Amino acid sequence: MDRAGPEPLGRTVEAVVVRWEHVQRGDGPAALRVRHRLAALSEHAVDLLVVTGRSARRVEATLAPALGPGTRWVWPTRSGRPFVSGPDGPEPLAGVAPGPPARAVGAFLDDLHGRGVGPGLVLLVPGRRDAELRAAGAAGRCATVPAAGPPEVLALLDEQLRRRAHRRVPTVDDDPAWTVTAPAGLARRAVDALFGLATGGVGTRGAAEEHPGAAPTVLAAGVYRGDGADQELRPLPVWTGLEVGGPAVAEEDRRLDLRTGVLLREERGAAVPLRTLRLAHAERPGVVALRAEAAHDRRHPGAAQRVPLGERATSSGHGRRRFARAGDDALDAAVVAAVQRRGRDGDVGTVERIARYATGRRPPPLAEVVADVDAAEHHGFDRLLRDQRAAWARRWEEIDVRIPDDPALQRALRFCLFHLWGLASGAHGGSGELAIGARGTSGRGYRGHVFWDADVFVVPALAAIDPDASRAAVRHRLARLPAARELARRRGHAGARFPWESGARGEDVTPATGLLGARPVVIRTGELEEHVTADVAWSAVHHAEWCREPQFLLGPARPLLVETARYWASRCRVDDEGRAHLDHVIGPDEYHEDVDDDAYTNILARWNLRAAADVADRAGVVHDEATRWRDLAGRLVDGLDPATGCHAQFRGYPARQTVALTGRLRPPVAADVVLGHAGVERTQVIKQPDVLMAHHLVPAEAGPSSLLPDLDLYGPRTAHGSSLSPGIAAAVAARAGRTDEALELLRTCVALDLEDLTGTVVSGLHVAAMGAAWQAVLTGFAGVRVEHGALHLAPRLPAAWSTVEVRFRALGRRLRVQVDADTTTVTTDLPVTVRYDGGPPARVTASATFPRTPDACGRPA
Amino acid sequence: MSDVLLPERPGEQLLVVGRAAAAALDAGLREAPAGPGADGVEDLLAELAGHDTAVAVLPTGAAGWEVACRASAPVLLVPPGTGRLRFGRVLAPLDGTAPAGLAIPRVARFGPRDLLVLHVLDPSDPPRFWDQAAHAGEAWADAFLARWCDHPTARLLVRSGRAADQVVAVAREERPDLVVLGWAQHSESPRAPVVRRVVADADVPVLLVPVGGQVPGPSTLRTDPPTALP
Repeated sequence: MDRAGPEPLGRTVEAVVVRWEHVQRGDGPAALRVRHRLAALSEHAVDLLVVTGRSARRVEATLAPALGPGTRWVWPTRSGRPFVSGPDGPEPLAGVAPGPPARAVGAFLDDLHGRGVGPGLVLLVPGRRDAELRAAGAAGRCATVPAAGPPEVLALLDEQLRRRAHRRVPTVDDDPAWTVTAPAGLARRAVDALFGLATGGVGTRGAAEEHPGAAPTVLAAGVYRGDGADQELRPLPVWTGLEVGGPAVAEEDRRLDLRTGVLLREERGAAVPLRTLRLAHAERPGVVALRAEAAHDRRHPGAAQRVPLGERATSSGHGRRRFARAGDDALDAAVVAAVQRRGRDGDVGTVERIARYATGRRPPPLAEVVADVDAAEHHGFDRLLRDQRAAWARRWEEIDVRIPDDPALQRALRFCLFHLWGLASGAHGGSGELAIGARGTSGRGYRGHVFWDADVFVVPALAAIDPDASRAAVRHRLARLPAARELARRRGHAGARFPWESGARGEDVTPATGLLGARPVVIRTGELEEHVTADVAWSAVHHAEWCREPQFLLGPARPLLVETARYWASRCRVDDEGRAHLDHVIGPDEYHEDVDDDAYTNILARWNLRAAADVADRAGVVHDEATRWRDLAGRLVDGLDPATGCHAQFRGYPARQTVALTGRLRPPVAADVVLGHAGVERTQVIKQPDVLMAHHLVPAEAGPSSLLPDLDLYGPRTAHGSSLSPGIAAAVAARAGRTDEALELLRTCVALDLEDLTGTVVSGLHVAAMGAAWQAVLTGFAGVRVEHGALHLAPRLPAAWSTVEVRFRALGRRLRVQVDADTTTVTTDLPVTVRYDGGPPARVTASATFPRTPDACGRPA
Repeated sequence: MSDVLLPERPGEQLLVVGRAAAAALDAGLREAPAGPGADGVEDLLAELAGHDTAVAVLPTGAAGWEVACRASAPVLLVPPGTGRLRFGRVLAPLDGTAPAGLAIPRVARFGPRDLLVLHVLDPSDPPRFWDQAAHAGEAWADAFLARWCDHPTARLLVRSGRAADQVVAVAREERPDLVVLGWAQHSESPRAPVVRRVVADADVPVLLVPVGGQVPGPSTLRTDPPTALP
């Protein structure tokens, strides 16, 4: 945008581009003051570019004494080559070729973008007759303000200095590729969940500061209260609360900037609107920060933190500081310290608040937490924000999905990745364990209990995002192995059996009753949904293989494999013909309870037995048991019918009634709510992938030749009545080459929360579906798998996409796979072995391009 | 200040109810003046149109129904036998649409201690997802209340079946002080039969809140399991 004159900009910028003529003219008082203001802005962490044709030496001689050492400023020289200030004098700005000033501005904007500062946060002040810079500013979406001379420049810079000195609320760069606004029609509390931020495993919902509502605002991974089925995540002291006087906020805009991890809220219609900006720091685990502003007589900040009503927590404080401890001795606790400052800029009152949360069985002492918050405050909000933006920009350089043909889906997938990063944050700065509840820390839904969602939906996603996080999630299960052993013992079996719903100590917290629509039902998942034991084992092996950590598997994770295999070995029934069975189970398709030989359960148990035997062999221990496990695995039936190539989902499934999923049963639909529990059990309708889930997790065990027959059989019978269903179904369909069908399923998956398709986002995000969405792109469309230390690629593009790029981590590498119509390009930071579409292994040291092979339809496969 | 309106010569029962309503709403109480209308309906409507009225309290019957169908203010229809009314326990059937939800702010002004929200699932338009029966009902109820009835004393009852039957049945089981229904006041509305049935069969007062023309934006999202309620 090109403004008419040097009126106040009305917002805070993060970088300034100014023409040299405003700085050097005559060395008069005004020019000196401009230099002084530039130096002051630099101290406030504002990036500067002075555009000139002068030599670097001359510019430095003029500017360096004014700006002082340690400031960061960049200018292009007469040759057109931009230099950057450095500790030893000016250095060429890397990667920028010589050229006209516009090119330097472009390079500067690129450099800023790489540090999370978008062009909407840049103020560009061209010269009086400076068409070149004005054009550069317009092209880059900068706020471009022509100035007649130093007095006008001074006014603009003074405004920026004043806004920073008085702690005015910054803004975000409104880039539609990265900005999520509140979806129309959603309940306010649902949007609160969508706009949650997390750091160090502590999640803060995007609730209004002055009116947070009934839902807990702050929750932490693994910090519970209560016992048994009623155990739930503990509401923690709230750091975002403000008292805002005057009329209640009637209309507002909320914007979540995914690219920088910042949430902005702006009241509409008020002369001096309420504005807030908050962040959960990406580099300082547990540190959160907020700025707020409103008309001076409306702003009454109150205490820097508040204990939720009815919560037992010790709270104290003096002066600007508040401290609190929440939790009891038996469970994980949280320690919180918060500090705030007030400011005033004319008729605008401001508040700045910084808090630090620490959680764990033995959280650090308060003095340590206070020292952290003091250090953060000393660093300053501006620098915390700058660091936050840069850290998120680095994250997105490494982990991202780019679909130029489908920007809406691209943003929705980034939204998933954003919240998966939030989950991953729990692995950092804490105990090294990560409890992943069904809604993460975004809400109290499902009480924070840990399901198989964590093991096979979220862990695979985290392994490709942040291996520390997937390892910490596996460690969480490992630490609860004693409870799993006890559960197996109580049920008369050997080894370890993980509970369907796991509580703080790994105990079974599955409720006994529930509701199916309006009907009360007995809950049998705790008793019968046993596949979770194999799912836990699978997640450990998957993490070790995907991240290439064999020692993790042979060391800390080995007891998990061994004990789960022992459980299955003692759980199997061997019939008179020597075939092994698992009777009385519930598979992932929860519409059919108490079935025998559920295909998924049996295939995963078989895989578990074999994986444990392999690990035992490699570790050189329990050899006799390993032999028995392999033998038993070979006897476990899986329902495969050689005549049809299909797996029967369980014994007797083919005899169930076939029902067309049309009309009121058109997927996605909660078919069990429609037909009732007994009614749906009589049919072949299934809730979510069961046999196909086995194809997804352990394709070699499921038999590759059965994939298409099983898709043909179960695809039309799947109601997708679970939020877990569309993402995995998309991954499997894409892998099978049914990419257009897969794309529709993926769209449903990413809309689950953003459009509240489940109607339950109020109680938190469906983090497993987010993990499934990422898996669908990564393993489905991009066709990425890791086997035997090699990266396997078999990409499949839907007709609507000409290209897709995924950036992810695997095998200890940072990888990029770009799939185009005719080629696939792999880029890696370290050498990696790649097998493309079943071809021979190829060693890729930096980048390699593979021609895509045609599929049966003649398109590149 | 808006008033509670009673018909001309209301009788002891309506007077008691009217006084209770006025006390709950901190409103004045006035009787409609005598007018030329044969059955008083037109007089009442004219009175409602000419004054700021919080609620009109009328006996259940043909005249009361006609006023409720045409009035711009809420109408409390009181069946015979109604005793002293406290407004402490209110049954609010909501179908997951904006018009029905608009009745909640009106009834909230009575300050109910127990706001019992009833939602009747319609098998012909079921929810899309029901993840874990152990928790889905709780999560769904939480979301439903957050969206349609963000009131501190609200709790949700979920039933399935024919909406009118369920509302009448729950009104008998739970013994609320009154039932509140938002409606669009025209017989073509799919909810009109339900309103008529509840007014006819419920043995507690029914507060009918006209919501025509007040619907903010789309009335429903496909995310919400709608019902056949008014």
